[in-house]
Amino acid sequence: METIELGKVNVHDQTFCVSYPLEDELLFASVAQFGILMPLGLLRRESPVIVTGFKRLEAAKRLGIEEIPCVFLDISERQALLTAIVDNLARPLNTIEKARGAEKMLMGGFSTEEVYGVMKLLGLPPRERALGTAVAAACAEEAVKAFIVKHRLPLSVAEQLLWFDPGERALLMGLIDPLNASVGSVRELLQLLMLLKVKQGSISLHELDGAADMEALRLRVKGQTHPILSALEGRLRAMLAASALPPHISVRVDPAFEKESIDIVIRARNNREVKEALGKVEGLFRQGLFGSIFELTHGAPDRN
Amino acid sequence: MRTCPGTPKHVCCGYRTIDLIEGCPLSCSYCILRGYLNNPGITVRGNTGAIIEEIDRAIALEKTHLLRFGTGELSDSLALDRRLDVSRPIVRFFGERKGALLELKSKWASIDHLRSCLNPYTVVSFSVAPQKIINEEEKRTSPLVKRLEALRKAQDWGCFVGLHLDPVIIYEGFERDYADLIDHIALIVDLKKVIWVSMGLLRFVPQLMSRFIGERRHNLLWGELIRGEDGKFRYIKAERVKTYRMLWRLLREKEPGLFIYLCMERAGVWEQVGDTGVGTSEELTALFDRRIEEFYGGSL
Repeated sequence: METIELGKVNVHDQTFCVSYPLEDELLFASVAQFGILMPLGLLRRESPVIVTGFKRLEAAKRLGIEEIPCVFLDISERQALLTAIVDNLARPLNTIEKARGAEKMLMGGFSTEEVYGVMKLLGLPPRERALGTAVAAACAEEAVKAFIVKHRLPLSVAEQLLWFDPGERALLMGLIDPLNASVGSVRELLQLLMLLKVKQGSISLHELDGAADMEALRLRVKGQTHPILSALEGRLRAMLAASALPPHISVRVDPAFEKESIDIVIRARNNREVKEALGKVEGLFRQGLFGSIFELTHGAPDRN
Repeated sequence: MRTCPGTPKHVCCGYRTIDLIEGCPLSCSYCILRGYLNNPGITVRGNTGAIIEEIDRAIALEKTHLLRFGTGELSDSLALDRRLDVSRPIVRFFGERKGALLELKSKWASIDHLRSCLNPYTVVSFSVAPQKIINEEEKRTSPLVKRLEALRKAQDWGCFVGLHLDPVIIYEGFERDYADLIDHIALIVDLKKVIWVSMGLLRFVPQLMSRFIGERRHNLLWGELIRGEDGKFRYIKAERVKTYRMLWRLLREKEPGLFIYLCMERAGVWEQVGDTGVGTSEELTALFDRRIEEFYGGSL
């Protein structure tokens, strides 16, 4: 192991940098306390290029460390890129880091099959479409990359986000960012918005401002993509609310209102509870609750 | 040869399919084959003799219903036929066997090469759609007027013909276009010699949804789509019922005796559309038997 003055290293060359983002507070605290324990891997050049250790370098720069431990690697650029990727496999990589690995290999002249091989190691589907998305994600605007990492979006959801125009992406991220969004909720929202855009030709995201949470946002968009289904859901909710079902009786309706049948579920512990529940169900029947629900499930108001 | 797989929880017509060719050069944007077949190429089966033996056995074994066979399930029946000439032996077989019907179902108006062998036991059918949909979603297929002229030609040669309004696509202004389509059909085709008309609203396997979004298929995604009980995307039931009723009425206005059926629909939709009282696959198959009896009398 050797040491090298930071000033002699080509700190701007990111050819082999897979890490994203470079700022890592835990690593920063460790370097602040113990210094750099693991040497950086450098490609031997007049001005050496970093192969491994970009995050350590970043911490060193922030801490004003002037000399860093290093190992000089006498390898080709292809080997250097593979070394950089494999070196990072020891930790969980985020989607942008995986995407960068694939993108750098593709740009570095590796064959598609070689890239697919590494994509498998990275946990990405070894397919043309995924590679295209990886390249797009790796080259996306800084805000998009940060958003993907912050919300832990997998490549499939990143692909949805990248489907939108840059202006739409910015507005979308602004809508979602303040909300406590799970990956599933982002996926579902983006899917609905994509559908809406294809249906209408354009979308007005400003109209979605001010949603309290992801569910409210989803419902607003769904009201536009699925107006009939949303209306049916609303009517069903209102009917069930008005019927004041006790907690041990539930009425289950197919979420797409496809099945004509409904399930009336009674939870009972003894004969008395069964009798009481049946009495309640009969009361609801007399009030017309089930007939009204069947109108919804049969898809035509004149059915019952 | 196999029984049409149909779709779970839906009424099925008991159709038998003959897979002479798998894959289709017409490449319609909504084609279910884009979701089902992994192989982008086209496979042509050369063992026609063995297939005919299989069909013959199936006809001999069937004691209850009049069997209907078709070659248009995994491909278009006519798109490659002039070049490959694979239908001729099958068409001839049905003409000689006289025990079942063969349906050639197509969007490619090319039947002249079959004229010498066509017979009353071959039903020539065309899928039809408004010209706007043909222009935008069925770009490699024959124009509507050519399809209708081919149907008329087949009728003039003594064949019964079928019409398939499938997939019916709900897009902005589709009602007017489908009404025009039905007017157009009635102008060219003799509806009294149409043995059956099927209607099926657009449905597709889930893996096609992202493809349609990626390709910005505005026409295909304009209607309100939900996931059906079989997992496929289809229009929400209220829209299906409304659309089927409209088409049923328009068709019956042209010819009150038309035999119309719904392809892969729920019993609950059948109940609300038309006047057939169909609730099960068995009832639908029985309706087909009666229709064929009307057309063929004792010759089948």
